[in-house]
Amino acid sequence: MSVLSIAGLKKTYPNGNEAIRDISFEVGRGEFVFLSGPSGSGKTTLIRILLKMEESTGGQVLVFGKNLNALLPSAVPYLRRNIGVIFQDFRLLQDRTVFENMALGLNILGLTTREISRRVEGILYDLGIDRYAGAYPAMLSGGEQQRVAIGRALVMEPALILADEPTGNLDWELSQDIVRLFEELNARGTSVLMATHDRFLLEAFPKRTLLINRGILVEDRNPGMAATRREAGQNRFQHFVAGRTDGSPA
Amino acid sequence: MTEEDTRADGATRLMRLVGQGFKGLVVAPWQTLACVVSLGVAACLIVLSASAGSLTMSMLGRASRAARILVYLKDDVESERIREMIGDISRRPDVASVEYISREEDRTQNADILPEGLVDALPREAIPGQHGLIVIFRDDAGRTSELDGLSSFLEAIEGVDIVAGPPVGSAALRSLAGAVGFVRVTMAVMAAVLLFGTLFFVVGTLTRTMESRREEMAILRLFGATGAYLKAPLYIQACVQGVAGLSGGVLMGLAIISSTNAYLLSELSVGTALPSWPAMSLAAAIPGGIAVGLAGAIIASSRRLP
Repeated sequence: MSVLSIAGLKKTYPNGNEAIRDISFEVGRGEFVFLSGPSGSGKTTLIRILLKMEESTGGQVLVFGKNLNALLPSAVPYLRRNIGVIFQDFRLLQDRTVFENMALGLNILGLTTREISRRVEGILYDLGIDRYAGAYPAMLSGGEQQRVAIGRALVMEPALILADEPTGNLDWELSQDIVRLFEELNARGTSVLMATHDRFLLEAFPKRTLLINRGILVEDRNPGMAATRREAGQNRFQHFVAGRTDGSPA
Repeated sequence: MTEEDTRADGATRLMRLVGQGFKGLVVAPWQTLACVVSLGVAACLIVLSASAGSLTMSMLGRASRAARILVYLKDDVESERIREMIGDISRRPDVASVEYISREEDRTQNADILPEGLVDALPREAIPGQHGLIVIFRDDAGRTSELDGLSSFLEAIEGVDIVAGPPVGSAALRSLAGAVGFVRVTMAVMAAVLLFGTLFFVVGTLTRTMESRREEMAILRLFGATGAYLKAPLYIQACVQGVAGLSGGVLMGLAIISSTNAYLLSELSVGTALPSWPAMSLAAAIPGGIAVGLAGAIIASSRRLP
């Protein structure tokens, strides 16, 4: 089943600016997808539409099978509780400790103090920032702050993570660390849609990539599928050499 | 661990929201203080205005009885002497009439002003009763100097024990009651204006709180906070401000009434119905404060919530 299903999406602002002209794609459960394209291509607008922070002006968007165009405003908060969102600028509250920042969303769920501590401490440990639980964001490096922001999303145990340029403010090493972190999460079953325009990152982590330009999906590249096709071709060749032509395993 | 084990109970969740509401009070402490003080002054004026209304009624009632001076006579004064006294007093130009009151009649009047339970518990003889004369003077004889002259005349009569009369005459009381009535209306108008103005104070403090929490609210919205979850602390903050301001004001008003009441009773023989007030006023301050707070919160949150 698809986590995201987008068909013919359009977004035109009242001033006539067409941020998204035609985008259609699906993201399956447990999939890791990069959303790439130059600045102003419509990546952030797309993520804002998926979070129902903005309304689309055409097409259909299904998130967890729910049609966002038909979703009542009162249902939006409950949809968002299943989506972890991470931004380039971290958006941490500077007057709260790391622990308090991460516990922010858990109070909404009405969890016990013990459960909140259990979840936050667990994620702090997993992210390797447990020693900063009592520290304030300003005392941390950019990479550590982004880890806290990721942790804040993860404690909610979301089924889907939407990350909008999460490595935009980080150096190369830290950027790789963050993507590796997303890979680990993805390996546990969380779907990830990460917007980035860093082509080095795309090359270092070959994954399905949706390339957007001027609001249009210009390419849906899937290196995994290509590899699978290559492997299938090689098998067919070997089977041909061995006298088999049906491509079935030996 | 089941889902039930991880969910906080309703009371815990409510306490978290209340905690958030109290935190909001210190976001703009001076504005919060100004809001509470102005609410308090408004409440104080309302209490004083209501008290002044009660005082006016008391004064007017007293004024209707102010044309009377009660002259208590010694026990051994004979009937013949009493008739002479009535004749002497009646001849004064400022006196309209003189009536005799027996011991039993006086006892009955005294029993009327004692608590009912006490009257039932006491033997009839234990209730004080003294014979005397009720001197009714002309209505226009209300000036203090004239009353003093009449009182001195009555005290000098042989056989008179005590002269119990009003230190202020009917006309003076009526004019005083008029002044108090005017003050009362003025205070009521001021209280209404102040309450209306205070609403803007409440809206102002809540707006400041929302501005300071704008970033937090935006993040909470992204993590699935409902509108009610975001608004609840603001409503709690507004109600705390409202109840604190109104209760404080009511207490201040009652303290002023209590201190002036003693003076009024000793100097003018009039007072307000204070004993039945405090609990009622304080009880009214709580829903009143909540109403003012909610009104402010509704205005503020409908305009400014991110």
